[in-house]
Amino acid sequence: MRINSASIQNWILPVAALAAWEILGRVGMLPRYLSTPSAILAALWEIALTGELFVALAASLYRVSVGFALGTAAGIVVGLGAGILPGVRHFFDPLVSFLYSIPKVTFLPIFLLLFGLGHASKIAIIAFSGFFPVFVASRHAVLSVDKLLLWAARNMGAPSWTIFFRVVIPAAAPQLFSGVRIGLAHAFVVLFAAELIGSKVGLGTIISYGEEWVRFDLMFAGIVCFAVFGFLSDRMLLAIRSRLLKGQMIGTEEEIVR
Amino acid sequence: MPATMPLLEVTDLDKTFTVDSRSVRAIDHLSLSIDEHEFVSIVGPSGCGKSTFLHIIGGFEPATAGELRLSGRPIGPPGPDRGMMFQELSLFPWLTAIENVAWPLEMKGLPKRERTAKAAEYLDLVHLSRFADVYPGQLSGGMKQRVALARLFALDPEIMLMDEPFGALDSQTRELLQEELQSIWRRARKTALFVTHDIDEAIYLGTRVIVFTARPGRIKADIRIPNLDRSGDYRKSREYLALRVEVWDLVRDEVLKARALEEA
Ligand SMILES: Nc1ncnc2c1ncn2[C@@H]1O[C@H](COP(=O)(O)OP(=O)(O)OP(=O)(O)O)[C@@H](O)[C@H]1O
Ligand SMILES: [Mg+2]
Repeated sequence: MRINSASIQNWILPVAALAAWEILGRVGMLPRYLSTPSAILAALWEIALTGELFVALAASLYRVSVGFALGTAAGIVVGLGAGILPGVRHFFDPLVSFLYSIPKVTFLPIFLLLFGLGHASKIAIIAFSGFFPVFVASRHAVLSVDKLLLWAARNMGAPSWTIFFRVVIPAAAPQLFSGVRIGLAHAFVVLFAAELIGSKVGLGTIISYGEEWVRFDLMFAGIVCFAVFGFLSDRMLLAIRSRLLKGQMIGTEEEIVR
Repeated sequence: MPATMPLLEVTDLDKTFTVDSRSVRAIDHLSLSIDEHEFVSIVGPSGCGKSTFLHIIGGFEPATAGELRLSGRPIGPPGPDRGMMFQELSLFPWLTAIENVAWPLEMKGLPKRERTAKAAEYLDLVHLSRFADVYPGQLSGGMKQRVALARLFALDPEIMLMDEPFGALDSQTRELLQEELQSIWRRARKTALFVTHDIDEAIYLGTRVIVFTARPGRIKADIRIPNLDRSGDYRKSREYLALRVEVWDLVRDEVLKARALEEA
């Protein structure tokens, strides 16, 4: 990274906030439950040494990635299907409208009963909650593909399947990606909730343990892991997107920012 | 096949759009026949059914009544025999210029190496070789239209249907593209239907200029332009200026009628 005034500007606020947190925390001007950055780092180091951190990371990563992959795949397949086939659309639309606004975490007890306290119940509920935004985005993306592009493809003699794979999907891809990104955020929210309520290992479990045993440094250590996790996966998604959608991102705000 | 058979024959074409029980007659008993190697310009007031006419020939919209034949065969669903250049841009934004031009060649089943080579030739024809690997989003409006033109040439249809391809361009770019299209057309004399609002463009490019009436579209005038010499000062010649006045008066009448219709 080149150091210029813009990148310095970007760092001023976070660094200042961290410094203020540390100093105010040490002199006792902050409530104890806010801990301090140094204590949080120490707590991270502590659970890294015992290995707890890696067990938790592995469990959470496994759940969120498998759940997210399943939910996204299902959302894309069913969403594209609903976009193309009116029959599929008429079946899923009312179902999705009915379920979409309910926080998916409320289904957790059912999933726990169905799949037990292990990985399966978390994966299932993450997949379930990830499905909806991806479905809605894919369905909508297909229906809003520019008619002219489809006409142009037919004009050039493309058969239906070619049009689907080579025109509909690429044309729908930008919107579809937005849905996937929302799905990813949902996945983390639900992961946390699921681990908080019914789990023996995981980042969420570390957080709830810290809260219960008044180890606020530990609690924040878990939160920090979540944040890093979420940030990295979102960045990865954006990197994949700008690779795949090179031509379509030209002139958009996002391309300019990058 | 009799020698006199027209390439495109349209008889008694009617088109009515019905949206929510309101119906709009776009085309009314239109008959037209076009021979191979003709370049037919269509002018007429806005909303008189020109785009609709091309869409019906292209197979994108069904006719309400009437018969359309291409080389004697009834016109079917969209196909590569009728190449369309739409009024709005229809390049694939996720493909580079050369990939866009190679697309129709791929649909014809050309192997990769061959179609890339051919696409490069077509891009060269419209002077865009240097921009082969650039996405449409990075091209200017005029460049995009040139890529679309190259894609149309690559499709190599029996008849080219062009709907105001240069409509959105500034007059200098437009004039350059007209000259390019004219010189390319002269080499192969591919039959074309060319819709435009620009009377100069219609006369300069056409071997025949058709004036549509205000909606519902019918043919008001059908003017043949026998002299195809477009070299040098054609745009200043007496013949050209006389044609210009003639077509201008015809269109003006219809534009006034169309406006009255809209305000009614
Ligand atoms: N899909 C549609 N549904 C309903 N009405 C339509 C539709 N397409 C066109 N029309 C109507 O048909 C008439 C002719 O439209 P068309 O687009 O063919 O005009 P045009 O001659 O190409 O105009 P312009 O020069 O402005 O492009 C217009 O009155 C328009 O409102
Ligand atoms: Mg039009």
